[in-house]
Amino acid sequence: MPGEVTLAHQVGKDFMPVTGGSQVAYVLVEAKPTEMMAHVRMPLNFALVLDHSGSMKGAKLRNVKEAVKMVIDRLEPTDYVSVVIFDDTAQVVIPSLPANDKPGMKATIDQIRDAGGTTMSLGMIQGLNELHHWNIPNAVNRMILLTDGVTYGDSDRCRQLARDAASAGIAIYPLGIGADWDEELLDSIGQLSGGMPAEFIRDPMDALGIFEQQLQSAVDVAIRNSTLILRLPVGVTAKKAVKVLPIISDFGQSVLSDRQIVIPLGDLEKDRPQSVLVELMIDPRPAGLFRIAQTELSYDVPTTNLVGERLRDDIKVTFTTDANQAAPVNAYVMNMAEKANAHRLVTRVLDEYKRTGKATTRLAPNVTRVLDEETQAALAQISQGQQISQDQVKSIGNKTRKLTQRLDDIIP
Amino acid sequence: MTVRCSLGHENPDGSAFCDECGEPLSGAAPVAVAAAPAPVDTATPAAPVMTAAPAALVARLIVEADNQEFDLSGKDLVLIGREDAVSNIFPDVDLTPHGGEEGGVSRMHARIFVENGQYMLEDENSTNFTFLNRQKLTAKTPTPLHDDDEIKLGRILLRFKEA
Repeated sequence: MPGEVTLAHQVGKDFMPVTGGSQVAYVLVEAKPTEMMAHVRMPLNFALVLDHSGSMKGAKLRNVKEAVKMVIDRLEPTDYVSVVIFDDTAQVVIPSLPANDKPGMKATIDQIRDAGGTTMSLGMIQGLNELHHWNIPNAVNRMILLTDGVTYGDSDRCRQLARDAASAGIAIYPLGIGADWDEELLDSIGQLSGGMPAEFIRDPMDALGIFEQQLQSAVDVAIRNSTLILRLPVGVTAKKAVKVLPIISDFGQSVLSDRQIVIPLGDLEKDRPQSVLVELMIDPRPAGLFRIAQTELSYDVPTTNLVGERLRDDIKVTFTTDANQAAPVNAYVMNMAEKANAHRLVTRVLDEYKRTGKATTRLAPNVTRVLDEETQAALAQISQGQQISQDQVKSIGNKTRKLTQRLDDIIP
Repeated sequence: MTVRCSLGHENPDGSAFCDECGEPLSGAAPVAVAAAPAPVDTATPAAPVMTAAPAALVARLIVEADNQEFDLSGKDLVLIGREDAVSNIFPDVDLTPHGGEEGGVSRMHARIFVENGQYMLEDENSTNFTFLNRQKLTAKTPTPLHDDDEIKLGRILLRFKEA
């Protein structure tokens, strides 16, 4: 049914030169719920799974408790919420219930104290149990999983639980607080479950704002189960596909196949486009108008009981022998490409640094100019053989994913 | 057809960035950095629309022995020497694959920079010296470069070409 979602695209160059050889084309595809979905608000089914191990003592636990109470305050009576705390064991402090008795729930949160070590899988198991408890039609099922440290002996179990969650339609949104949590594990859990990579709570005082964003993101979900497919004609092959909005996330080779690119986009939130930057290799073409890809978006609209709706869009480019015509370039598309490129290289530097304590990759100034000051300074230190803190590693990794959210450096 | 980055990696035509090292490729799109769009109706020649690197200067450095070219265009400063990860030395022009070590090239041998639109060559206190058109340069004394100049670093011959 048209109207719930827009599927649009921009190309790097609307006019490409006839060169007699193969060339690369950049395509930016965008999917976004429309104004029609402005009033949609699906019931939430939340499990907040929180680390209360000894290291959470003090400001961390205090701020997290306040953030949780804020979430409880903002829920509707039609939302379901449960709270699980874990250290070496896990405890359900609020079983899954409609958010009715807010004073009672908040009083229970106040009772939470810091305790022992960390076994995160136990917390995840209890959280998933609570999320499965009720069958709530059209609910947005999410686990918010917060930890400040490293879990002992059960990382693979955590990953398996994340896959199980995905099968059950539950997305996990991991939050890491402080400097000592395992980025790779938390990012995996987020991505395997169909959620997002880990968000970073750098300072305990940031907890409130981040929980607020998590809540708002769930409240804004209007479209579910969306998948983007790009079908390619003969003579066009897929080189690369990278999500650029809301955050940069490389899909790798797994989404690319012979004649198409298949990208699961998951939930679409109101007013928040999801954009994917695709690089296509185009075989030589003579002058003329050509379709280089056809995009298709399939999605569900739970509030109107629509399943498997489809939208299509043709991506066309004109090949021309006129050099002046082929000169202009879409600045927005290339800005996204530049940022995706910077993200790829910063990730490469950080990965090597985390593995070996130093980095041999040097970044050209043209690459670092899109990065913020903290990131540039930290990269300069690494390239000079100095060490940076774990906290900085997490911070710049997290920020580099969000490069594309800044629009102040693009011509409107 | 392919486009090469300054390190010599080949990329398909139309690529904006090197697949290997991520370096922005000159054949590709200029990226906007807070420049205002040019008003089309003015009589004066077009104000810059979407300019990338500032330079109008175009220059190359060619290794005589194997004809490898290094593009210096748009760069204000180019360091020439031999890469050494252990000492954290990563020159922009690494002569290691061009016989640098046997040829007596120091890790930090020389630099080429632009001053007031003029390319300059400066020896960085190298062990085996820098020669410009067979004349040995005094260390740390910038000297102007001209098209077709011959630069010798130790025993390695390079030619400077300016467009």
